[in-house]
Amino acid sequence: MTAAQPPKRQHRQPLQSFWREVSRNRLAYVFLVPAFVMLAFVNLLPMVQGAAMSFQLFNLFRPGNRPFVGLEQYQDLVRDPLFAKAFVNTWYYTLGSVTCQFILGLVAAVLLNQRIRFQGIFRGIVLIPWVVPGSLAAMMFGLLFTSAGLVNSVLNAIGFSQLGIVGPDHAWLSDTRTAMPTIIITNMWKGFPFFAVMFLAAMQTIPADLYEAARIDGASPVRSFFDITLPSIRPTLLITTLLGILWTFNSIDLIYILTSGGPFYATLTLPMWAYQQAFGRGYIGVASALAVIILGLMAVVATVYLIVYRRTVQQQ
Amino acid sequence: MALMDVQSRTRSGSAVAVRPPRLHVSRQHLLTYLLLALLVAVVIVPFLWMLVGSFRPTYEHMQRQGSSLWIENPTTENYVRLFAEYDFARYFLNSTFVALVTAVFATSISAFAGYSLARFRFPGRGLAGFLILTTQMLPSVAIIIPLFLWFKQFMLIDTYWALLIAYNAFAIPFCTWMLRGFFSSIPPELEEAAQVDGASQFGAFLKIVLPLSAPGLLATAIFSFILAWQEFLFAVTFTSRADLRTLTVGIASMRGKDVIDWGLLNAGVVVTTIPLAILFVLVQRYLVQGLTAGAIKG
Repeated sequence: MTAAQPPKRQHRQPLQSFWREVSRNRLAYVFLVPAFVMLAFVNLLPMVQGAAMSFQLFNLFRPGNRPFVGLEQYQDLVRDPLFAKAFVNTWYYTLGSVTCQFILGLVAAVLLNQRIRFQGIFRGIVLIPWVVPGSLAAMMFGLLFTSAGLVNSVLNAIGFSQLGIVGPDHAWLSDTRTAMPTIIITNMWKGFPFFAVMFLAAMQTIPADLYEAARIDGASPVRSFFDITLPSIRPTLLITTLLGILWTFNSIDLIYILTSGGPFYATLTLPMWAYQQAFGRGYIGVASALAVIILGLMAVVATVYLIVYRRTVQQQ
Repeated sequence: MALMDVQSRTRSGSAVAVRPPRLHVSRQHLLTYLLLALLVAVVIVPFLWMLVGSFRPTYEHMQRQGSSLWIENPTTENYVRLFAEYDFARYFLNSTFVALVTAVFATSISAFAGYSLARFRFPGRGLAGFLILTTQMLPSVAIIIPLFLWFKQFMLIDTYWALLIAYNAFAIPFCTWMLRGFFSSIPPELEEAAQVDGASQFGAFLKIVLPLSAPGLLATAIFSFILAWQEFLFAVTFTSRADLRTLTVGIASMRGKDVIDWGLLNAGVVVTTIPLAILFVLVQRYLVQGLTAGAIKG
């Protein structure tokens, strides 16, 4: 791969050969400098500073005075009943959204992978939600689900409101029971194309003769989906789900626009709470502690997931 | 080229595919088309509703006719009001400026980083790739708080700089992975030949690799443009002045506390989304490549 690689030599001294490698690839390091300077100053250093601030009693509106309080803010947070609520909400939101996106994405990928007419057009249409900015998708669905919105008029037209589950003028986002499901539906619409694209790309790498052989052996399309398609794209299924979980867990846009955590904290997630603590009330220290907890949760999820992923890949 | 594999396979696949005979539509096909129609409806109805609503006069909205897909008296008044009552042109300009600068800058920086990861086998290569991938997954709340304080300290709040710095840092990891994929697909023999002819490695990169990957560079630039154009949270946190609002923040600010100006919001969403949709159609296949390469090969 490398341009002009010299023939391999016996390594007499490991350290010396290490430096030889480094100096031979000088340009590689030089090329990485700008990107890493950006990432260090805008991502990594703020992260470290955020961790440091989580041990300080730090109010945005009184920036001069920030005493060190150790783990006090973490203890207060964990004891706060709102923490448990936000924790549960975060997983409700994350797993609900990712499950819906996964299922709809898989269905879409299977459909788009068929030999159909206007394949390109169908693929383009399915990707539309991806280009709509998240905050605007949220506003769109906010209007769809108001009491005078299209959703209610459709539900009323098909007689759903007569079931008595919700009234004919139901304001979906103002009810503690329906607020989170509404946000999840919004997120499903906005996020499923990513899953569909990833799954479709993976499906297209499956050799067609596999399906041909299965068909000759008399396997039904459903059977070959479960026996050929799913096992072949399992690494993609896993990695896409991981990315989906991380992104959804951290995302605030939709909740910020649709409910800002209400009604009665029914849609308050940990990141939304941290954001409100910092920029609504100025409690930088508390918000930083929350951010560290979020980061820890993410690290655990990612680690567990990557172990599962590695095992899956090794099995194949 | 390996890069175009998926796309070219699809294309040749559909070209070779025998079209189903017209009068003999199997049950399976019928089901496929039925489900596809349903899927298209799910995707398109919210957007269509928005599009229709943007041409509906305010009094029709007031009469609760927003709950249908029909307009009695179509009008363009919402679009006119968008530019007359709000500084919508300014929002549009702000978004365009921030997104353009991000596109150019993030793509340039990522081109160097991506080439480094694609061509060299240097000590620390794995670690560098890993670090770039993980920064992409850091929680934005964890970064936005300290970053806000820094920007405040350096008087960058309420300037374009705050947005430009943040957007670039967020676009670079993904762009680097995307470009790494493009560069890997260019045969190294071309650069080797140039070097034999006396060019330096840097010269070979500038004169051979960059021109050859022009489509990839353009796709990456458009991707970072879309990313910056769509962003909301950083923009709403780092700016408070009305003349610095980007489109997403500007439209969010149009939401009244008590009254919803439906027509205006609908028109705003339409105007913001259409440029993105056009760009998206242009780069769709490259984007898919970048996404799958970055996520799976990592």
